[in-house]
Amino acid sequence: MFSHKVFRKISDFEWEIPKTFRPDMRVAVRIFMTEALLRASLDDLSLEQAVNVATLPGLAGPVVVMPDMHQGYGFPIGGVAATEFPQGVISPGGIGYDINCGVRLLSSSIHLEEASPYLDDLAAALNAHCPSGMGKAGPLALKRAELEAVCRQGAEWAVRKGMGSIEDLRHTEENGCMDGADPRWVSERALERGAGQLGTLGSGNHFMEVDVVDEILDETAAQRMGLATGCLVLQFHCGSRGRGQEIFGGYVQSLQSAVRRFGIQLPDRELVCAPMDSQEGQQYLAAMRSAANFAFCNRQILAHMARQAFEQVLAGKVHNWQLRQVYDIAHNIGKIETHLVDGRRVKVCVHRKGATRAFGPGAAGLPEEYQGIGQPVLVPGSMGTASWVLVGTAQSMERSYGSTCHGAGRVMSRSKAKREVRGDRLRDGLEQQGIHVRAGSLSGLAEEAPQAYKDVDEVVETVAGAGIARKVARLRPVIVVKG
Amino acid sequence: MLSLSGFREIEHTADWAIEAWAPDLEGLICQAAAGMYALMGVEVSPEPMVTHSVALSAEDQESLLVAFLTELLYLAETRAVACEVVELHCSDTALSASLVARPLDRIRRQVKAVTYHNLAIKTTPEGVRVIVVFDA
Repeated sequence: MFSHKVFRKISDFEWEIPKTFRPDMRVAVRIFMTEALLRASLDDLSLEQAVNVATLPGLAGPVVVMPDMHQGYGFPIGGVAATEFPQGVISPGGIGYDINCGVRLLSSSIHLEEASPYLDDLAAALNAHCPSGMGKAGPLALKRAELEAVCRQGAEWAVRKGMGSIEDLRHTEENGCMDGADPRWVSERALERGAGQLGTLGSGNHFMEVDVVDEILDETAAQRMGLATGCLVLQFHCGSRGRGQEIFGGYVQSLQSAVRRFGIQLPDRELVCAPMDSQEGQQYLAAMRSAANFAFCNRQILAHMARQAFEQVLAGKVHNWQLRQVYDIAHNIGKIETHLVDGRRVKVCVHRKGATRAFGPGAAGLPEEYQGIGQPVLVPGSMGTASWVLVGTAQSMERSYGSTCHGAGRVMSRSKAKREVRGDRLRDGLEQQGIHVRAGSLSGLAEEAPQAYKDVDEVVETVAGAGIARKVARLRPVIVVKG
Repeated sequence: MLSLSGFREIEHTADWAIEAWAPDLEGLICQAAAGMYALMGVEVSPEPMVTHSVALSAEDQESLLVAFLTELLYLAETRAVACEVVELHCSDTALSASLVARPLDRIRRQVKAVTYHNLAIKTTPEGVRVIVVFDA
């Protein structure tokens, strides 16, 4: 489908598929990749999926794809699409099943050397305090009124219950709560599925890691975030769990008829959508924001439980066991933002499906301490490899709707990874590298093997080369907890 | 030679997918359900058995398939049961089924959701065929 002549080279890190490529495209596709990553991306259907997204009604500018892009369903994972508000469409597929799947990072002043004797105990304590894996219930059994309050208040609900601080909220995207959430548009089933899952990590590619700051590349930004070479940090990756999945599934089914009613032609039914100013669009936005707030609250509770594990194992043994929140980002989300598109300021809904908001210095919504450096961007690597802390830039505001990459990006199917990798050998290999592993399932561990992912360093070099993020610090794992 | 009804797992970079085939739509839905349970690696206890009935309506055949599989995922997650189809009838827009639900002993892998990605039930000389992609 794609010959090399299709791609217009903009720079060594940026390419374009013009909208003349296929008659149903409304906008171009802008690709942030090196030539090598671009060639590799032809091995799956992700670029075709990006072209499909470029057919959606109401797009304000090009569809953008990131170097960690890989094949999803409907939208590619690693895709960003901005539709004009309010007449453009909102597409649940551009946000994903796990609404507000995201990453939270907490820093510490604990030196690796002082914590080394206790790392295995810390791995066990994190595993015990933070439920992970299929069907694991969380620590709270909430009644309906409380679940609805979680949907409206997000992370603040947990802080009000003593699980965290105002500083945690200030260091969370949207301050941990999206306006416009309305649980009336969340189905009974979605409420039921979320009920027991608050404060759980989940399974699949969700994880909790303790890392050591290996290298700092921007001293000023790192200092502002509380990151110091040789010190431990905690990061984890999870989302809205069954609640987001149920909301997504319900709306993908109900929007099938809306697509017909609005006469929208789609190349893939998974791209179903509705104008944001329609009743269906408004209801999905309100339900999606409810799930996003559930996810912010979920990560707030997990941070609280992780702090309890740190206190239990390290209090009195290291000089200061406290964890300070660096930032919390959403990488499956739809946000109403204003961006410069072709020289005009346009209010848009930015769909980020496996892409991270990366607001540059001075952007509205950032806390004062990050105004000068830009928004922290958290890019976890594959298990056992590096993770990165970046910041957003002026370029990301101009070229990618204030967005950048979100991780390493899969290159190998889960079933192939399981055939090629043995979970017990992988665990032993990681332990030999000095990484303490707690995994609920060895086959689950094998599915997430590093060789199933792209090289995160190459992904980060690409976004840094393109200027849509700047490198701040590189992290190396010492504890991995997976469901 | 392939049997008239069946399913097989197919490769998908980020998620899971199966192909199912059968002589008719009812059979196809049952095969897709069996394929999904196989992906999940479900193991059940023989007892206690509970009967369960399902009545669904949807836009078209594909939507019915998604709705039925989603119902089975919902029952697995919230009731911890896996279901065997005793009887299933469907038109283009409605489905009714009698199921026997058994307690789940174990699930090896979580399937989070059933997607519409490129979902199309195709008629073949032998019957009908579909590829279903799951969010994992």
